[in-house]
Amino acid sequence: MSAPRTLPASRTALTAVLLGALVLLAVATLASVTVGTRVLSPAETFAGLLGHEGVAATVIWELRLPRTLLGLLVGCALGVAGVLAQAVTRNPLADPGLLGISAGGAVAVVAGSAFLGLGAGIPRVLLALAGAALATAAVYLFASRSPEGLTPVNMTLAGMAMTAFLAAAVSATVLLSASTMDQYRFWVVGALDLPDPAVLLPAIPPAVAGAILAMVVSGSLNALALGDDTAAALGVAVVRTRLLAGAAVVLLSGTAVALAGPIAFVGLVIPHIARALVGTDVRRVLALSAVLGPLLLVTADVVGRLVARPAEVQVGVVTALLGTPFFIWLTRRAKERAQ
Amino acid sequence: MPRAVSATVAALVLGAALLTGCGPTDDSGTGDNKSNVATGQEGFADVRELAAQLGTDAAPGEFPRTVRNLVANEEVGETEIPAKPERVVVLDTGELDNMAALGIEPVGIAHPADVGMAPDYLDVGDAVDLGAYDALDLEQIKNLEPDLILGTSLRIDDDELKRKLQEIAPTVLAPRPGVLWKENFLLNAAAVGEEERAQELLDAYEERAAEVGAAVTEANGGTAPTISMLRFMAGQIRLYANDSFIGIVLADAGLPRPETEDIADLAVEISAEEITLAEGDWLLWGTYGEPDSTEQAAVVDGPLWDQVPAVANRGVVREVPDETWYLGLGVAGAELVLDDLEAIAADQR
Repeated sequence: MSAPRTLPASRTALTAVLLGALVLLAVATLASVTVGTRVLSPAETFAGLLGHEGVAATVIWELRLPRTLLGLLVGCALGVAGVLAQAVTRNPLADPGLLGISAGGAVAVVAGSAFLGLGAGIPRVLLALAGAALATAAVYLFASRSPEGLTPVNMTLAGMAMTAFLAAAVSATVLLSASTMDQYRFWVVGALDLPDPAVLLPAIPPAVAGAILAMVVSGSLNALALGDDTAAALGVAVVRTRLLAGAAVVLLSGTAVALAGPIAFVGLVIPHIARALVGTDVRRVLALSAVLGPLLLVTADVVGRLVARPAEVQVGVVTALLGTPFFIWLTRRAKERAQ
Repeated sequence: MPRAVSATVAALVLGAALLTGCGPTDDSGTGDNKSNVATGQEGFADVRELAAQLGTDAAPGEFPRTVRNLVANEEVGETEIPAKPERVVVLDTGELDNMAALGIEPVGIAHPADVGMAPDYLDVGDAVDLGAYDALDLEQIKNLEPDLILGTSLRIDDDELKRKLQEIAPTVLAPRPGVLWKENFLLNAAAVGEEERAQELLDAYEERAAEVGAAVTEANGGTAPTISMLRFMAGQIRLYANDSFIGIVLADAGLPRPETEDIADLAVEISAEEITLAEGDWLLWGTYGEPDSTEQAAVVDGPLWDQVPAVANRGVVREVPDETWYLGLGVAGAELVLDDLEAIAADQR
C-alpha cells in the first residue's frame, strides 16, 4: 500500500483548481447551447443568444438549454454519487453504474412502464429510486455473505453480476414489449434527450436531498477511510455514516437514472480525476466532482451530437467510450502498485 | 499528479479519436450513406436501367415462362416458372400490395420488423406470418410449399440467401422497393401471368393521379402547392424526396416539391433541430412504428413546430397514414394516397 495521494494541500491550490474547472464548465455549457445537430452561423448564434424571436433563439433557448441543464444536474449527481460510493465502500472501482445501482433504477422504470403502465413524472422518479435502493441492498448482501467478507473485489463482482442480470432484464422487457431499439438504447445506455420534461421537476427534491446528505456525511467519510475501528475510535458512528452515505448514493443515482437512463463511468472516472487534482479529502473531492461530473457529461453530449449528424450518439455511449480506456489504465495502475 | 493527469488526458483523447473514427465522414446532412435503406445497394442512377431489363417475353397468360430478375446482387438472371403460381410467398409490403391489387392471396407474408404482418388496408385472408423480412425462417417458408416467392434484392441482400430461396421455389426479385414500385408491380405481375391486368391498373392509376393533382392545384387557388413529406422513425427524421414511393406518386400527380426534397434520392435525413427544413406550402407527415419510440411528440408538440413554414403560414398540415403513404409501396396503397389527397383538396375549397 502506498500512502494516499495528498498533493496540493493549500487552500489557494484548491481554489485555483475549482475555479479552473468552473471556467471549463462554463465553456462546455456555452458550447452545449450553441453547438448541435442544426448548424447555426456565428451571426445566427449571436442573435439567437440575445433575442427571443426566430429559429435560432428557439433552438438555443427551448431545445438546447433544457437539455444542457439536464446534463448539469445529472452529471453533478453522478459525480457526487461516485465519490460517496467509493468512500463508503473503500473501493476505487465503486460506481453506481458498476455496482448495479443504476441498472436497478432502470429495470424498475422499464418494468413499471411495461407491466404496470406507470408513466413519466413522479412515478418514474419513485420507481427509479426504489429500484436503485433494492439493487444497492442486494449487492451489499451478496458481497457481505461471501466467504472473504465485504472486500472491494467481492463488492465489484457482486455489482457487476447484478448489473449484467438487471441489464438482461431490461433488454428482455423492452424487447418483448415490441418497442424499438431507440427505447432500448435509452434504458440500457442513457441519453440526455429527455423523452418527457415532466420528470424534471419531481427529480429535483431527491437530488437536493442527496446533495445535502452528501455534504453532511463527507466529514465522517474521511475518518471511515482509515478503517472502521479507527473511525469508531475517532468517535464516528460507522454504521450511521454508511447508511446515510448509501442513502445519498441511492437518491443521486436514482434521480440520474430517472432523468437520463443508466449512464456509466461518470461516477467512476470523475472521483479519480478529482483525487488526482486535490488529494484525498472527501470534502474537496466532493466539491470538485460536483463540477467535473457535469463537465464530462455536457462535453460528451456535445461530442455525441456532432459525430453522427444528423443523428446523435447517446451520451451514455460517449461516456463509456471515454471511460473505458481510463478504467483500464486505472486497474493497471492498481496492479502495479500492488506489486 | 502529472502522470495521472497525462494518462487521463490520453484516455480522453483516445476515446474521442475512437468516436470520431466511428462517425460518418459525410456531414452534409443530406445523404444517408450509413444505411442502405436510403440509397440502396445499387445506385439510383442505374437502378431504373436495371429494372428495364427485367420481365418476361412470354405471351400473356402463357406458362411455362422465364422471368428475368435479380438472381444475385446486381446480376440479372432467369427464373423458370412452370405453371401459373397458386401458392405465392411475399417478402415485403410492396409485393403483398401488388398481389392484393391483382386479386391474389399470398400463403405467406414477411414484413418490416416494427409493424404487423399486413397494413390494415390489405385483407390477407389466412396467410401465414413469416416474421420480419430480415430474419427469415427458411424452414417455415419451405413448409408452406410455395410455387413462387416474390421480393426485392435490397431486402434479400445476400446472394447465398437468394440461392436458398430459389431452391425452395422459383423466386423473382426486383431491385428495390419504393422508387421502382410501378416497375416492381409489372415484374410481380409477369411472374403470376397477370401482366395485362397490371398494366390496366397502372394506366387507371396514372390517369387518376393527374386528375387528383389538378384538383389539389385548383383547391390551392390555381397554383400547385409544394408538398413536404415528413416521416418520423425510431432514431430518424426524414424528408422524402423524388426517388421514393411517395415521391413518384406526387410526381405522377404533377405536384411540385420544395427545393430540399426535390432531389434524386430516397430522403433527406434531418434532426429535430432542423425541422424547419420542411419548407413545403403543405406539410404532410407520418410516423413509422410506435410513435413513442420516435421524436414525433418532441417535434410536433415542440417549440420549433410553429416556425415550420406550412404551420406558420397556416398552410395544410396533416398527419397521413404511414402504411399507405410510406409503407404500402404498391398500386393499392397509391390509390389510397390519391383518395387522401383528394379529400384534403376537398377540405380546402
